[in-house]
Amino acid sequence: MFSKPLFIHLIKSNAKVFSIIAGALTLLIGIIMSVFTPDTMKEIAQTSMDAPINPLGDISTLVAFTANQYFGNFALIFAMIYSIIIGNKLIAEQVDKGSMAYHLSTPITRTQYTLTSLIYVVSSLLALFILIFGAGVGVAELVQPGELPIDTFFMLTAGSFLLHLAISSITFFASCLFNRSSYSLALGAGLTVFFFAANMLSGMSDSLEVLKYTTIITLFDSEAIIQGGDYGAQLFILVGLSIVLYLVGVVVFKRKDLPL
Amino acid sequence: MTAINIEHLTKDYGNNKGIFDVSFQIEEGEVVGFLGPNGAGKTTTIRHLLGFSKPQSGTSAILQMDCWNEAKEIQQHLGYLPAEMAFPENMTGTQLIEHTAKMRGLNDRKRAQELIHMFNLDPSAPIKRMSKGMKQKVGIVCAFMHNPKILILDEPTTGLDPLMQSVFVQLIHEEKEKGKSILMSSHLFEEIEGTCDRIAMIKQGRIISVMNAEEFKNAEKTSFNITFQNHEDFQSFQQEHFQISQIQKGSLQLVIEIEDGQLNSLIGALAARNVTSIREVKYSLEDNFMNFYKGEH
Repeated sequence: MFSKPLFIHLIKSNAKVFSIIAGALTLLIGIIMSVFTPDTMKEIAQTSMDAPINPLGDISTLVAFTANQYFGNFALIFAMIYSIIIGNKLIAEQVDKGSMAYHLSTPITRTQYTLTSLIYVVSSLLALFILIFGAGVGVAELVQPGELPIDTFFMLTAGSFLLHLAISSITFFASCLFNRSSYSLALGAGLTVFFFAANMLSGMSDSLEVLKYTTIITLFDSEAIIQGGDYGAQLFILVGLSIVLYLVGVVVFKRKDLPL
Repeated sequence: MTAINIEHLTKDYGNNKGIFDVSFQIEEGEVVGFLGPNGAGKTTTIRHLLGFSKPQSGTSAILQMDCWNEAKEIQQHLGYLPAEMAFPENMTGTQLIEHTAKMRGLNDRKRAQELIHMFNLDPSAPIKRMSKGMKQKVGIVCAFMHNPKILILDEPTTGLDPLMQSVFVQLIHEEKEKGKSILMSSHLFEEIEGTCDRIAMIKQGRIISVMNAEEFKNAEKTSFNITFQNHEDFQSFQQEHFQISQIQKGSLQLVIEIEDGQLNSLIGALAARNVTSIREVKYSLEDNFMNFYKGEH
């Protein structure tokens, strides 16, 4: 069910996109962990006290700042871009360009191709978040030992990973469903961008709060993770959604006609 | 044993597009040409053989394995050269050939090296930078490198220069001698004429004719192009009982079609007249092809 030479090929051919995203996110978490020491946080808190709205959200602690700004913003956007690019590239783009004919004219089943691609997406996302966790903890311990609650940071990283697992399952499913890159992107990227916009708008005013039920991003409840609330069930939904969409994608691709 | 067996294969895309009740067989060791104009259904048929499309009705099988359900097993014995070669991006030719070998679990690179040498190919360049002909050569290496029993070649000489085309024809002859079964699609007559045992013609999704190579090579009729010195002879010759297929008054030329038995009477008729030149017109597949397609293109 798994093809090792194909997996190696996927690592090589997507190395550029992966290293750009992983490099940027590792650098950013490093900067956050080294710059936002307790002293800086106090200063920022004081200067923004007078402002009517605090654009940075809850920044009382390092881990709250990380949850709001890093996992709620930078990591969210970058990892979304990664899922959109990779999801489309692995299946729909290969069919659209015709190079899927090359892959399938080797002794490999379609299911082997999609499962190996799926394993690549999941493991590359996992590698991305392991890198983030490692870099975050490493830099924090080096610059301001003891300031970062590692178990909370771990749960934030894990939760964010599960959210992006679900997003990648959407782009992957769209990629399996359509034979054209443009359609695959319209569904995969379109839905992802909608989730992002709905998440942003729902936080802006009370009248738009209802939008939070239309986006899967709110299922990763960082506030609950920090304050020790209930967040397990929501993450479980994300996992369930991922499994269903990934498997349906594989089955759809196995059964459809390919215009190659 | 039958190498490729297509029975009543139908796939209707609507608007009269698709293939309808296509049936033909390729025996082991046979080279079959698959001829038809653009959009006639050649690629659609090949799509089914490779398991990319599911038949609406009918079956296609390679080495008695179903093309839709057992595509992976079939690929062990199959070499495929698509019409439009699209390779995965960002690889050099060498990397691609190496990757193909690994995907096939192939340890022996001897055949690949032979082919690279045969086609005078330098695969070290990135595929993106390669010309159409070079890409085609890389495709040929990938399709032939594992010594497959069956070869499906979709317009194989596209992009190759005349020299390389003749190398390719030589390769087909070699493979044929090794007992390979080959299906070769084309819209070019020369590509098929010299190499194939049989020719299947497809038009608007239906097989219209399957004929043996002998049938069109040793056609019973021979055509001659005759030029006369003067108008009188030109005119009087037309009174003789020969089947004239073309007349060009200006140049005093005409083309006649005769059976071999009429040859003596032709020589007799010509002996009494002043003839400038007489040439045999090679009866080619092209004429046959044109007969089928006339007015419907």
